[in-house]
Amino acid sequence: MDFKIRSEFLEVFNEFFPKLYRFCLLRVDSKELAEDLTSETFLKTWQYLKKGGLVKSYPVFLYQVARNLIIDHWRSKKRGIVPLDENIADSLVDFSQLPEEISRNMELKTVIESMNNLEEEQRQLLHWRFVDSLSIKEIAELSGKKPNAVYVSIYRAVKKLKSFYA
Amino acid sequence: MIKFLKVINEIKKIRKIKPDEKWLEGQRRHFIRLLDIESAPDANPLFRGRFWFGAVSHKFFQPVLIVFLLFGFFGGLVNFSQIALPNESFYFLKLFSEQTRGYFIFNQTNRLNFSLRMIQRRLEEIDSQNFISDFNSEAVLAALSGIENNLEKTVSLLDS
Repeated sequence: MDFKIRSEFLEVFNEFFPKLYRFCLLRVDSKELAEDLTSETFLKTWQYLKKGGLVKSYPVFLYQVARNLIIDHWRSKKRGIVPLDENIADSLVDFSQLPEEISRNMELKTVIESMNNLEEEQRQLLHWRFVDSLSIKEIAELSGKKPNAVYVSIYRAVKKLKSFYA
Repeated sequence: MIKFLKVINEIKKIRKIKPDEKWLEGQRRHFIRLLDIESAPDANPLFRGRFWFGAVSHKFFQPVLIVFLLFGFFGGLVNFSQIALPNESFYFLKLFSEQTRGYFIFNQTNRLNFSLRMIQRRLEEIDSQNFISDFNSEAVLAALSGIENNLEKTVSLLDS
């Protein structure tokens, strides 16, 4: 395999591994499972590349693989919906931490819990746009929508989230 | 609008979620091993075979390679034309190469020797026509005109 592809993959790994971990963590039961899914996402992508597959856009490809793995996980657990687990939000607040960290994590918990009120599609859109800073074009590819529709959906999702804060 | 931005900033707080550093480092190491980057031959510039292949595919080396190949091709043609006779297609290349070589001789004596050597060559060309079944008078005339030119040069060199 070409060295260029390997080094490119390593760069992608450095940039997206923490992002994908975050994406998985907010959609599964436990940190351990999120770690496994993140690792598996990269492993699957690497195996695809090794077979000679071409990846146009790494973010789109990686998030698609991660999303499929998450769906598979929930299907295997026979759960139709992909909820944001409250345990994850709770696990962020560890009272053995420093007071500043606790307050920071409390804020985080509030954000996650309010995001939990949104539909999964809206949560994904907001996550990709504002947390992982994906471009509208990439989000459009991931969500299978037109860029204009993505803009509108993001706007509606933020508006809905705003109503929970009010 | 401010509230809208505030909500976006709230969402951005999720960025604070980070994986465990030790686990992340372990994963990075695992993938580096999996990608086999350190042992990849083209990762090591000292690995000559692959290095040269890599260098050739590099943007900077491509024009150099093209020029090198063109020179090689032209040089080969010139070399091949040295056995051409006046009635053959590459003869003009032979004359051209001789003329070019003549331009780069600056010493008077060497120039004279070169001119005499060229006369000798033309005479050999006329001589070779006698052994060829289809004798070509035009070829002989071309060789003779060559002799004439070289003689003129020789005389002018001797005068100077």
